[in-house]
Amino acid sequence: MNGSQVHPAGGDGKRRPAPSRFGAIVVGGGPAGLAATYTLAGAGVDVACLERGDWCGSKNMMGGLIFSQPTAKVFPNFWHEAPLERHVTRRDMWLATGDSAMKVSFESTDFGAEPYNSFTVYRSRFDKWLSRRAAEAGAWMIPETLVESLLWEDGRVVGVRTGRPGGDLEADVVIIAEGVNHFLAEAAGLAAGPPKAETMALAVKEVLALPRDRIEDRFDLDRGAGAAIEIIGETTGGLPGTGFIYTNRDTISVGVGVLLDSLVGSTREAYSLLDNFKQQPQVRRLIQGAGLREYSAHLIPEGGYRYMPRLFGDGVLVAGDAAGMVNAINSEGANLALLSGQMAAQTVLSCREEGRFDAAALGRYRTMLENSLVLKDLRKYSSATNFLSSHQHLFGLYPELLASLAREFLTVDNMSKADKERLLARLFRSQVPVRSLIKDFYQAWRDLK
Amino acid sequence: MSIEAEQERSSGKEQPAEVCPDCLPDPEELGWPQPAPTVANRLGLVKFKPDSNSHLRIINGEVCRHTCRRKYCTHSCPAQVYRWESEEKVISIAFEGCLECGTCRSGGCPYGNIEMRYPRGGYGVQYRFG
Repeated sequence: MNGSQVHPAGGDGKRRPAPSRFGAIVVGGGPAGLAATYTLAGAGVDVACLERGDWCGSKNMMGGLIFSQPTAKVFPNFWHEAPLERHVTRRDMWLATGDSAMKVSFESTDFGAEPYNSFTVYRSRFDKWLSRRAAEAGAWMIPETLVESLLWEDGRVVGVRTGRPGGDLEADVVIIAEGVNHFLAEAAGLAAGPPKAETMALAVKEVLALPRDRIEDRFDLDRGAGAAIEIIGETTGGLPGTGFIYTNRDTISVGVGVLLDSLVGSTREAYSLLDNFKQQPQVRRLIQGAGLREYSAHLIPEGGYRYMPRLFGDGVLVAGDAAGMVNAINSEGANLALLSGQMAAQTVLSCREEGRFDAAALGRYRTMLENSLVLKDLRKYSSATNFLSSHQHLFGLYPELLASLAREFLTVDNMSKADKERLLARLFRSQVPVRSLIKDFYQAWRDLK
Repeated sequence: MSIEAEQERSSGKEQPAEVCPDCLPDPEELGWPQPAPTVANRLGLVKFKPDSNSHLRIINGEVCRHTCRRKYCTHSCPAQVYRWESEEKVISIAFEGCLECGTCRSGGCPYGNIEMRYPRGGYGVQYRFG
């Protein structure tokens, strides 16, 4: 093809036309794709990263955190330069009912000093910064370009067909980091079809603006520090899922994530669940008066280890959300994406030494992942999503039960303590038969340990 | 070098808007409870660059008309892209406000009757915060 056609329209004339053949092509400019691109470019590989958005990050959102140490493994000391919102010094977990919340909170000054533990970010800005680093390392960053299909030769992937006229690009190897909707992984025969509802969570989120000193007062934070709150219970109307509240510099991110098949079956709307969540009194107190700035929605591949696509084929590797690399139990995804992207790049580098990119050679990617925390963690929680969707009652029942026990226990009335204990025991048994309690806890221990 | 130029171009355009604390209304003045925003309110705050052609398509209208009683997509889509037009007996598609999440492709239509692709490169949703 004519290389100049690769370039986005409306150019400034200063740009050199991109070649049409590369050492590697990375599809998708998110954490996985940019970690791969940056690593390959840093090693001197002629690599192109194709992003369908106007800039890397423009399609991305997250209801989560950027964890410092895994990110620094790819981008050392990123916290000196990257556009971060707040370093998180407090993690809270709430069990909420319609009018109460039982809160577990951990706070540490450690988390407020280098290397920090985690950060809140706006992905639209953070991912853009990652892409700038990849460009500085020498990668071809090609935005506004949708990859429509893969190019094949003798049963192996040899490049991509972009949406631009004559936009075929060839490469020794293609790294698919296209995100949760894995069109190309399906086309490559690595994923059986579209992601299934029972393996997905739908997250909807609002960014609400509030002056930064108010945020710090309201959330009881040191200047520049942040809080991350995870909420189980009434927040998702009894559907399996969680609510979350994260503090940014001058906004608060508020959202809910719900297992998709339960949501669809219930014919409830994700935004209605979010409305309810925002009206929960303890939640409302934190966000009241904050003005809506943006609304976003995204799928999260929470199926885990058992539902991952095949990770490699002839001339092709899959990383990040496209590969289903999310640890739903610990709300981790971006870190696994970064690490898997880096490992995909390292795999390509070692295959380059041998000059072969067939499945047998690229298969070391899988081994590398299995020996790393990425697949060790996913394997550990491989039954978690099954557990959560088959135990939907836990999301309504146990928060209600704990709240009623705590309320009775803490209410000082005219009952003797002995009578109160009997009342509590009766209350407990009336809501959960002991046998099903034991069963729930046994299964939780088995599937989540 | 061209790569920098490329980056400059893509970063020079569409800078995400900064939140200016002084421009915000005093939250105490706003009062509470505020009415919950509608989906249209919400989407009004999101930046879109709509393409002229839809990237979403109902595969077979008969399924919507006769098989699907509960019109699942009208509830499952977080951007309310799909609406049941009871007079015409069709699902209408407001693809311009699609957040490109993929719900309609992943069980949001339990009958698998929605074909979802991504919009062309450079089109569709553009998150300022994300």
